[in-house]
Amino acid sequence: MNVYDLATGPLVWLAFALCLGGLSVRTALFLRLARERDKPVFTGFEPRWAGLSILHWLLPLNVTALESPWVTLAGFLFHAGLLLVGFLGLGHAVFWNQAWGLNWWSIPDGLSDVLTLASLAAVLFFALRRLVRPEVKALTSAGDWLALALAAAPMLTGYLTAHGYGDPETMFLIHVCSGCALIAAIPFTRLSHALFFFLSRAVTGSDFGKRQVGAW
Amino acid sequence: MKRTLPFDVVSPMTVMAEAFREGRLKLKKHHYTEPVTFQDSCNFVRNGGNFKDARLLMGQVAGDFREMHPGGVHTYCCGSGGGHGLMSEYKKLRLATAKAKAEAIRRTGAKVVVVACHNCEDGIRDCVKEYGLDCEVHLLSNYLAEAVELGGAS
Amino acid sequence: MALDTIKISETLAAKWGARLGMWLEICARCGLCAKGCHFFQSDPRPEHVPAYRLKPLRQVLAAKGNISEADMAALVDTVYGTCTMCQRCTMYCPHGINIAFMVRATRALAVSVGLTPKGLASGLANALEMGNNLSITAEEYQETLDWQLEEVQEEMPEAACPVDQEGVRSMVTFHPRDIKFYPGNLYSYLKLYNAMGEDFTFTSQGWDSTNIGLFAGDDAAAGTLAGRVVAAGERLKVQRVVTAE
Repeated sequence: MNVYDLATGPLVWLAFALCLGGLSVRTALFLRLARERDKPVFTGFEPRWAGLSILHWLLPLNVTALESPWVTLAGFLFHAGLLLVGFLGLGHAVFWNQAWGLNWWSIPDGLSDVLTLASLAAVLFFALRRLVRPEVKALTSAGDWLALALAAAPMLTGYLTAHGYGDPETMFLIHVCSGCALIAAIPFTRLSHALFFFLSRAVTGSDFGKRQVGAW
Repeated sequence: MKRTLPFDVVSPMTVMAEAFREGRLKLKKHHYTEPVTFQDSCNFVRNGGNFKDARLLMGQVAGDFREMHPGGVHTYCCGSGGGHGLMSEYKKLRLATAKAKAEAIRRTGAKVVVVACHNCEDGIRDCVKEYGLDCEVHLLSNYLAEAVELGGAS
Repeated sequence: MALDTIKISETLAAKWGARLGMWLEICARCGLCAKGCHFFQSDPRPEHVPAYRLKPLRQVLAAKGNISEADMAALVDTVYGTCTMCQRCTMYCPHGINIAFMVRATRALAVSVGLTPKGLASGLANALEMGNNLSITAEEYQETLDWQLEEVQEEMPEAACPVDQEGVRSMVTFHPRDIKFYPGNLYSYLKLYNAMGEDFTFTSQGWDSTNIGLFAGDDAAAGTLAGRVVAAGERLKVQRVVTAE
């Protein structure tokens, strides 16, 4: 087995196992802790408000979208590029199909390029914001840079691979490895918001909804 | 600490608006003519759901009601919440950061700010004084009591 | 007096919960909450960004409660001085992080080692000792009620001021200042409740429904204070308790 096979075989398995296993464990631990010592998480739960809250923030139907339109736009472009290309990019779709026999929609390469570049532009915007805006700069810690780098690396190397920049095999290998790092890191870093976004919005949405504030 | 209570806990605005809706509380329509705004309190409006109640009561007695922006559930705190009314050690900072609220009040052009919370009463009074706003501050109960139509309840 | 860091870590452990951990972890330090805060909107300094108020808690956690007196003083200034727990920032946070909830938990750390700011601490002590935070005596209370009833009766001769009446619909509570500084407010309450024909009563015990314990982040005190109002409501078998304005 060469490096290439290792990267696209066991490494990807390992990354997904860590990601899904990690998220399952974290969900279980969260629910256990909530049951033991944070009862309002359950007693206050209101499915309608939880659902609406999640919806209002998955779509730009919230006050922040109005008051901070640029950050919101960047946020959406960033996540759209990451998730759409990650799951549906043609190269990825072929890989899912060959590796696990999964068959779903794919998006054409041209669109993937646009999404990736927009997403990278958003990364750049976020990075600059962290450096330039004093109030954001003061909050920023090493973990924030790590999260940004973890997300940017596979997108950048993916784009470079697709367009033949650098040594194709090396670039591709870096792409796969950085992609695996991103996936594996989700449960163990701030990226866990992939899961906790929903739990947190459910808690807060229920709380604010009950008080007739609306879908927060 | 959490347990189910054998009674409901309601705010004065809930009680008054309910009585008004049921026709038990008669208030003189547009009793006041001066421009007036309402300080939505964090406790009662953002966290207590009294927005509609407040508008119902104010709309009845105020001939020239002005909304504050931001207001409603997006209201800025009066500055006196979270114990700030009692913490003299932070008073300077509290007054300095009441600027956003002062500007919101100033933009309404109101001559009266009605408050429905004792914390807000202090916060808004201090804010009005600190920023030289030409406004009186009245507690909602007092504002409504003066506009009560007597003999209407029987 | 040295800082009782053992007490801090015990309180920290007692306060730890699912929401606290989740919110500390997922805060992206994006700063969007700044739009939600009147401290920042009035005076845009980094320390006025709501997310900044989580810093002391992170620091205490990282040090497992073992933090210096200077850091503890900074914690007090941050969570008492720069936050009114109004919850506006939560409405601006994409993750819906309840900063006020975390601030209250952090305040509890200060309470546990007796660092409650003195204004709050003395108000709380009054409330616990005297039954209300302005040290009003039972006589003073009843006299003020009687006096204001007389005033109202000039306008509404049939007006009544029931106290400790059992089985009525609403038990009406006060802010102590209504009695001590603004008796005119009582006049208005009496006028309104009589005018609307509400089946109501005042209470001689547990009439102060303000809760400085909640502000201070002192759970035990908050429980005691709330418990008195609850006891009054239960004793009078009312259907609802009306809070102070």
